[in-house]
Amino acid sequence: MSTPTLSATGIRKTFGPTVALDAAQAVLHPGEIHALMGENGSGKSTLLTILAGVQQPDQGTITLDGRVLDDLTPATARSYGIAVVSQEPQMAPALTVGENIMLGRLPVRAGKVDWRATHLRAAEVLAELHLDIDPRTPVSALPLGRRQLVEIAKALVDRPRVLLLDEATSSLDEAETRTLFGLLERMKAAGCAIAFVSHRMTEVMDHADRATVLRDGQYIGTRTLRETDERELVSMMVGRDLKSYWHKAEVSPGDRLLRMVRVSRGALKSIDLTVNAGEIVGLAGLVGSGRSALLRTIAGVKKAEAGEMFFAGHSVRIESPRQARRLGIGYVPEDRKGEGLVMHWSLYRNAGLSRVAALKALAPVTGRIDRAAYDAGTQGLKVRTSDPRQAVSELSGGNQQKVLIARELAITPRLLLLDEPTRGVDVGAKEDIYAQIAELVKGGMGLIIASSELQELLGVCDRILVLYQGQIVADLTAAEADEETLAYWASGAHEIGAA
Amino acid sequence: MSATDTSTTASPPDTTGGPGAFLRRYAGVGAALVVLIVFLSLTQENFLKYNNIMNILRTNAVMFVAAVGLTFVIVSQGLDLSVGSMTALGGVILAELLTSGVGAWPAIVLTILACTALGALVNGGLIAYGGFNFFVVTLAMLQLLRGAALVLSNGSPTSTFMWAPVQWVGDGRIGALPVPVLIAALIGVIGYAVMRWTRFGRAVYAVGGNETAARLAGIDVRRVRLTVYAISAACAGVSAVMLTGRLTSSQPVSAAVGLELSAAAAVLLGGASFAGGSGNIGGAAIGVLFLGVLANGITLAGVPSYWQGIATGLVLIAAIALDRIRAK
Repeated sequence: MSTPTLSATGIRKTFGPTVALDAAQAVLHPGEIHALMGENGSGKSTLLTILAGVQQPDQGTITLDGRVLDDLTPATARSYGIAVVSQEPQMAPALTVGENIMLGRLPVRAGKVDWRATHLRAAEVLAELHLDIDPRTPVSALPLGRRQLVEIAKALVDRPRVLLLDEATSSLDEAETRTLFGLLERMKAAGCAIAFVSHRMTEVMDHADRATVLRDGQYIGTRTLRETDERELVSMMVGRDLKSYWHKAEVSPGDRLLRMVRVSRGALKSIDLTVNAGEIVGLAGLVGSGRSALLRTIAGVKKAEAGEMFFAGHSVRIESPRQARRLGIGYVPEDRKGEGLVMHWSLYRNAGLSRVAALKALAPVTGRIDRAAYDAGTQGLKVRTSDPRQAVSELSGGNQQKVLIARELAITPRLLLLDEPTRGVDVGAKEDIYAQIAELVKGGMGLIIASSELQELLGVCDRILVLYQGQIVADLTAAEADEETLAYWASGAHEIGAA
Repeated sequence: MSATDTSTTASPPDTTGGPGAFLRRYAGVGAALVVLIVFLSLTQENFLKYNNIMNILRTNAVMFVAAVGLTFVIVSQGLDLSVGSMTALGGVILAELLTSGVGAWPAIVLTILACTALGALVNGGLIAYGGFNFFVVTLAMLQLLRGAALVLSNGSPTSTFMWAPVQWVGDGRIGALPVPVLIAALIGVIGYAVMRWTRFGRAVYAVGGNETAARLAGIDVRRVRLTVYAISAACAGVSAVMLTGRLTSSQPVSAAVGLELSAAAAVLLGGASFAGGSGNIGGAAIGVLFLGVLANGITLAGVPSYWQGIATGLVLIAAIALDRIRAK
């Protein structure tokens, strides 16, 4: 085989005590499109940033055309012909498309910026991408998908030999994605080495020549796409089978609690969903698949735009979190610091917030309400604190999460929505939370749990729904679900079979 | 986050905190106030005289009433820059009503209602429901309301000396106690109770502490925001009546210029933070008293009153510096 254009081998990278990459590798050859694959947290994005010089590895070797590079930084990367397209467009929105594309390399004539040349060169690059955008348009006037394409155009100005894309397609629609891959094919034909990170299995299967799979920061293997299939890649990503690791409460689902009929909002498309009392429904899917958006719609944070919702047999329109609470829907958001707790408040006060919020404006509120809410909500949750009057910010993540869950349990909801209930929570606290969930469901509560940890969903839920691009693509019972199946649906691999 | 984290000494009254927490919270400015009072009573023979004390309270009653309204706004993580102009406009409205034949008491009530409505509809409406930035809206209103006061009055003061109830509110006495001081105390007590012991008060702290968390927990954040600006304007309306009575006339040009800033300084001195979620009316009372006593001491000592601004600014910076050091 030819000398690799860019290769990284034996890469180790740690962040404090966390090992992000260990003996990871990626080898890019001229004239290939190479997919970097792995689950959330597998280290694929970290590896990409190391290839781009944004981060320096603790150990390992990076070579360009067989020559060892030990001075790779974003600036030198550019001079070596390595260009990066990040997931989020990084542009100055007030400047024009042309200025953004040429930023840092604006042509100068007689001490002044040559705007004619700037816009001419920008227009050339845009034409290569088959983009019909006037370089004089301000970036702020463009929709997100177009901005992402401009970001790609920016990377092309220097005619790079290596192009690295980190989930560059996540904000593109189908036509834009086709435009992008059309361009990548042409660059590949010109001998460019291209690596991209993507969660969309279809893109990998349709466009990549080879794929490298990482799992838990380790190199699992590289496959030529012609000699593999999506099943093999998914099982490489997921690895070991850890099913039925958790103890699950034996319950018999009761009456129907929540029913959604063809509910749509934003990216959510025609969601049909039922949850019964005494049942735990899991929501699986990639980041951005609509898991959180679905919970937020049920919790009244965002109004449904179309479709019908029924709660305990009654047709309802949930228009605010306040109304959802009144119906008996509790909601624990994903970001406990940003959206859940008032960090400088005491445990008591935080635990009392949902109860207090449900009162009338001039209703009396004293510390007794907070203490009662705390006692009721934390029952069985084992919050570890020396003094519940201390600020919640002083607690560990696990204990903070327990206080937040206690806040919702204090209003004795009939349906509890949990978004990433154990993110950043230590193992002991996780077990406490799972035990509490099992108790709640025994008591007849219905739960919906959204999680990016497939093992957690498999361990806790009776039924798991998989979301992909805003739609429920699979509805599986605990018995028929396994990690491989969930990952298969979540990555959109099913679209290949259909096509 | 660091701004709120370092202001733990100024956190809202945790009803579960006990007397120790109460002491800790007020130790800074409270102790400084005591030191100042002791110092002035030793060096200025007139300081502890009954008349001087009542004089301090009387001249600062208007600022305290404005500070009560501002406390609600600042705790909710906002600011109302229109308080001074609202007070001036309130005075003009009152004078217009009186001279056009409306009875004194109805005119007083109407003035307060008019101010409240303006604050609720324009400040509250634009900020809470229109999503406008509070700084921009209330800065615009600072200009607009003062302008309206000038246009309505043609820029000239109108005497209200003829109307006894207005004089009574601004300068009367019940027994030995000045009426404006009693009104300020009453409003302070009501404000304190509402903030500390009602669901609405708790909601104001929640919105200021973490707006998103408050909304997701079922608090109608927009309604809370609208209400705090209405309360601030209502307090400005009361201030307007008190000030008009004390000055015996409406003063569209000069009345209450910069009132919002001195009141905000007092609220911040009393432990509130622009980061929101902390502060209370007890603290605001200490802040107003401190600035009042300081100004009085400067006058008694014969120092030119121009030094007052410098002293206030230094005290404010010192108070915040102290808070930071203690939080570390």
